[in-house]
Amino acid sequence: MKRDSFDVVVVGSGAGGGPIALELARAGARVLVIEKGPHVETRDFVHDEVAMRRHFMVPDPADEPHTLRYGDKSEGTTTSEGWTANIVGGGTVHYSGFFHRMHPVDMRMRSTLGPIDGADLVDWPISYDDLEPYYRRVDEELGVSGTWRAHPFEEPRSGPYPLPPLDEHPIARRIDEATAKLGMHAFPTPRAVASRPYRGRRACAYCSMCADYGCPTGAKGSTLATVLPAALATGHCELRAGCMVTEVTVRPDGRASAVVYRDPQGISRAVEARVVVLACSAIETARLLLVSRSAAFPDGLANGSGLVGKNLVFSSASLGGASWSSDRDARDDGRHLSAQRTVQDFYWMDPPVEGVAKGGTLSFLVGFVQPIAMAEGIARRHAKDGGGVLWGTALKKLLRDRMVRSELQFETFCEFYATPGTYVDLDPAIKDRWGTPVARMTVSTHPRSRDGTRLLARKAVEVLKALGAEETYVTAEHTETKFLQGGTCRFGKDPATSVLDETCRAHEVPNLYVTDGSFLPTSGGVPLTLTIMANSFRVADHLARRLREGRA
Amino acid sequence: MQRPTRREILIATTSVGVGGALALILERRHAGLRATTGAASMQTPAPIAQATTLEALTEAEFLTLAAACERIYPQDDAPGALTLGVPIFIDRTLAAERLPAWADGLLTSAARLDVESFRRFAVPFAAASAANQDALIADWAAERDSDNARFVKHLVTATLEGVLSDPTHGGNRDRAGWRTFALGADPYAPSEVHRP
Repeated sequence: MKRDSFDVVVVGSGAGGGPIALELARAGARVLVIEKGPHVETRDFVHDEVAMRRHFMVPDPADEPHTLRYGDKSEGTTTSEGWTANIVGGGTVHYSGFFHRMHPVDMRMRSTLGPIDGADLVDWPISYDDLEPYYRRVDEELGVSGTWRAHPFEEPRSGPYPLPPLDEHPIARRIDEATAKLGMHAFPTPRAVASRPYRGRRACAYCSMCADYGCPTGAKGSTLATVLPAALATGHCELRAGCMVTEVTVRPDGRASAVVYRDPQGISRAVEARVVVLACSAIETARLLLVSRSAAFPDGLANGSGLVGKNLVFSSASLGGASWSSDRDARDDGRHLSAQRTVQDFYWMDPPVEGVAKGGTLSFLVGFVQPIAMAEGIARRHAKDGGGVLWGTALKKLLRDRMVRSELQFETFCEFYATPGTYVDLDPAIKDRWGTPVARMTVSTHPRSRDGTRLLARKAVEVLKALGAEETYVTAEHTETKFLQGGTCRFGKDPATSVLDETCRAHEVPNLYVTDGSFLPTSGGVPLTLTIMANSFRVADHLARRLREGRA
Repeated sequence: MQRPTRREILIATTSVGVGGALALILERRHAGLRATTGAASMQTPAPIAQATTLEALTEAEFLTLAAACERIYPQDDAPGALTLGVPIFIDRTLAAERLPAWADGLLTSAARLDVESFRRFAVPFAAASAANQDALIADWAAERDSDNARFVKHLVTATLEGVLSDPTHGGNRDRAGWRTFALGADPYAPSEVHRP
């Protein structure tokens, strides 16, 4: 009988797993991608808000929860937060594809800011210049759309976007004018959405349901629509969907030997691998390492340092918006156009603005078409008792006023400083329905994350007021976008302070790599996904060379 | 006080102005009752009357949740939760999908709602007056961080889902939920494919 064995087994098919699977398959390695979620064909995505809300891509917390606590004094409460997506394509299936690069300062936070009390701030072992060619690779593989409009805070680029920007809502011009008056520089949001047909994919149909939905046209550059089909087309890559990896086993010499998974029928199977690449999301990769215990690694695989799960970062976020009592104008010419505007004037501030040196990105968008979420948001925002919900005649009256207004929303992406009190470990009490301990998130927000994020919210509201909004609101002054997660297996040069080396290979396990957000030592001030994909291409180049040279 | 019969419950409920949805149960279990209760308040809209038997909820759960939804999203000059079929939406959702957390939040709380209604008003929740129903929900909503307060929040969410989701899920009957907010025939339909 043929042994079930591959050169490389990649666990996870999202932003971290897709690119490396493609590059290694192109290099001729025999690659297996194992994905926990189902393989949904692009054409089977439906525009159905309720279907999307039913844990479409995230497991029910009754089955497979995470637990979450703020501070380490309480027990965690069970939640589905912290899952990115259980589906072939991972979180890239439901992301909006705001494709901003990190800035050079993001890799040099420690040397730029110096030590910060209560934060574990480090420089990256690589520089922006090391990553730039791979950012460009992502742009080209996915067909990123945007305009190279010079602004004072732009990161260096070696070339333009492969596709022109998406068509924009008329309000974009007004945002340009309003921000210019305020001395800010708005520019078109780069998107991982094809504005023109690209490499066999269709152009965006402007249905405006990017966030939280799978794209039925394939215009959105998920790994499902781009790098995964390309990887499968090489003939060197196999995909097994619906398979939850439960353990990475090691040989007595400490090298990873096999990946154990539960197949769709619930049967436990093992597949041998010369090299194992984990890309399950920062939280689930940490959990998988921590449950993979052996004589060589009694505290979890690659965790001799005790650092697996530490230094968890998210994208720090504020959320809000504004409304106008004029009729909705989001549907000009029958298409749902978005505002497509970004401001990065408050990314890095020297001298500091209102005491903040490091902030991030303001993103303005005409709301995605999600009437249920919109109504629910109104009900919660206008609760008479804080934290409650508005209901009854008062709710209905308010909905009938607010649901027909024009609306512009903002979302910010701010530096989330790693702290000793923010980490992932195994929950001591809660197990999933198969009896495996679940990941527990413990969060202790650094005051600088809070201050930076609040500053971004204030600046966003300033812009909305300058636009003449009658009502502005802030739904969250500072929170974390838990889909955007990193840091649990930092990369670095020193095995005493990092889990991975600069090629994202585990210091302690020479044939184990991690390519999801876990490697990120800092969160930057942009959504993390583009950087995760770029890094996955970068690691693939290193690993392909090692495989060629027989050094893997 | 004597526990009301189902017929009394329904009549009491319908007397506060609810329409179609509750009449379904009458038709299913008490054929003939409809004729005796008068046409005005008990007319069952045709599309729903044809097919509906409960698929997941018990009759008692259905009645309680239906009454509660209507208080969350009451009829005014636009249809309320009952007319829109929100309780059917909840029933269908529970039948169609395995949603342990969603279901648990509604069903155990519906039972508690009846217990509390009996304690306060000596009738099940569906038979209490609208004013009493509102008072009970208001008390629960005002509790902080309790199961009761979470239930109200969850019920608002479930109700809004039933009002605004695609009619194939059982609610938003005749797309009247969308119409109330000028959302068009189908707000989720992709627009015409743009050809540059």
